[in-house]
Amino acid sequence: MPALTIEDLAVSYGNIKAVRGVSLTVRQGQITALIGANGAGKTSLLRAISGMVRYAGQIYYKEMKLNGMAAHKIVALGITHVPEGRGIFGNLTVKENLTLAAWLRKNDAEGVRRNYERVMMLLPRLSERLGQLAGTLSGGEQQMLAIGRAMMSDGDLILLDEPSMGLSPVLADEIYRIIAEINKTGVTILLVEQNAFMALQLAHHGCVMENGVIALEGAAMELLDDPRVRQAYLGV
Amino acid sequence: MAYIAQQFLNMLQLGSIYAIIALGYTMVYGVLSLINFAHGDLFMVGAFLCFLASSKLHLPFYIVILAAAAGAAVLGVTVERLAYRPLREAPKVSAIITALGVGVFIENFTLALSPYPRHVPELLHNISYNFNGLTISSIQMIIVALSVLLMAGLDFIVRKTRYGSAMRALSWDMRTLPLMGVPVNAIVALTFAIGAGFGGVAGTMYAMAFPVIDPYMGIMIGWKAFIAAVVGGIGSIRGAMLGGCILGAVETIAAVALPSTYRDFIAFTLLLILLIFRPNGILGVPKTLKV
Repeated sequence: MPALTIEDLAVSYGNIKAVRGVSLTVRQGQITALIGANGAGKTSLLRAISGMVRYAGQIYYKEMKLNGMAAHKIVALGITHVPEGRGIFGNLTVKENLTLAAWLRKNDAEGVRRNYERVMMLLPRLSERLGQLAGTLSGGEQQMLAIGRAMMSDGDLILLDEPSMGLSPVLADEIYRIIAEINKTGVTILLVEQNAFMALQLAHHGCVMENGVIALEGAAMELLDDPRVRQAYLGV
Repeated sequence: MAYIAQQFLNMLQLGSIYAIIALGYTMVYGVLSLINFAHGDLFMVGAFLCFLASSKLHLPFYIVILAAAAGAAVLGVTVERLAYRPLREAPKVSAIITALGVGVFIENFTLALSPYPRHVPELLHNISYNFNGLTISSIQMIIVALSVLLMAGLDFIVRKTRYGSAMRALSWDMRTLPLMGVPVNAIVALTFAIGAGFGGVAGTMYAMAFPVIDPYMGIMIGWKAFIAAVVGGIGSIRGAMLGGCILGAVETIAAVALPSTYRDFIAFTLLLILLIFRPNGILGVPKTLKV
């Protein structure tokens, strides 16, 4: 069953066409990797889903049409977007960042507490820095905070924009382990990455984006073996 | 000795009024990086609402002050909705010109309704207490106490509540905030409501202390409070409080020590010198690049 269906999506900034007619489905409970070079339109696609940019075409989430919906209302449907560059609030403490992400769950104190404990368990490094301003965290810690926030929002679909960017291989592995952990609880994930090898190893399904269109699509394992992908993105 | 204490009281009274107005500038700047030049005029509207509620409707003191706060808050939110929101993505210069225009509009609208200066009746029976030659009036006590209460309340809201977290997050990154499920427009409206509401209260307090009001009274006071906010560090709540108190102190001292016409000249000179050494204000931090 598709969690997310995108039909003929186009996103432009002035005269620049970032996404040019993309159709895509993200299956419920799976990790779908969207890979491609810088400027392929991956981030614009995520921004369209979460209502941050205007677009042409249709986007459905569990049969509900998202077109024209305000970004904060899309969050209320259960779509969480961890944006490019992590988007942490540097002038708030780590704990305030986490609490803010549970903004819409003010009548679910019990559930928020449960998620909070889970974040502390999966991301122990954050629990040591709760009172610290988020702007003083290292890049890896900021990425963990961004993922911790996504867990606090308790969405059914998480959009991740390059979670491994700027991280050491060890930290990137740790982030990926946490993503797998979140997926195991039934959360659907759309993972945007330049690091094709890591993303396809984790994902069930993969799409390759080039110049605003989907160039290739298939099971992640098949894409890993595809000669075109191997040549262009894996460097082998 | 009593004379010095007396001047210290005047300093506190004036400083609290400046601080309450400066908070309105700093809050709006904090969330939108916009200098709301119409804020001084919201203060003036607060004073006129106080006049209306007291001399025409004969309402009790606490209702008068609530009416002035609520009226100014509604006007502030309306201005944001109609004039500033459409320009949120526009160049900052356009928004600043709009703010100046809104201010001139409010002044002249008030002028059309009430072309003459008005005398605000005594809101409370003013009792003076005498301690060894030091006179404290009940109005002075109320102004200072109310200001302290408002500042403490605002500080609590901004630091400890979810709405405060949202306001601070908004000032850091307006584009990411909706991804947390926070309705950004509602938080902006809330910020304007509090800032303008404080302006309305300040208008009432001012009218209690200096009861002759006119439609242009918000210009000079507004500029001064704006400068107080900049000196304290614009965008910083505690900075606005500090800046207001410093300005009140400098003005009072200048008025005591020198001919009264030198007051504004001395006050502004000192503030300009202070800015040379602390260009971000006393408690302000330079806007850092976000990684």
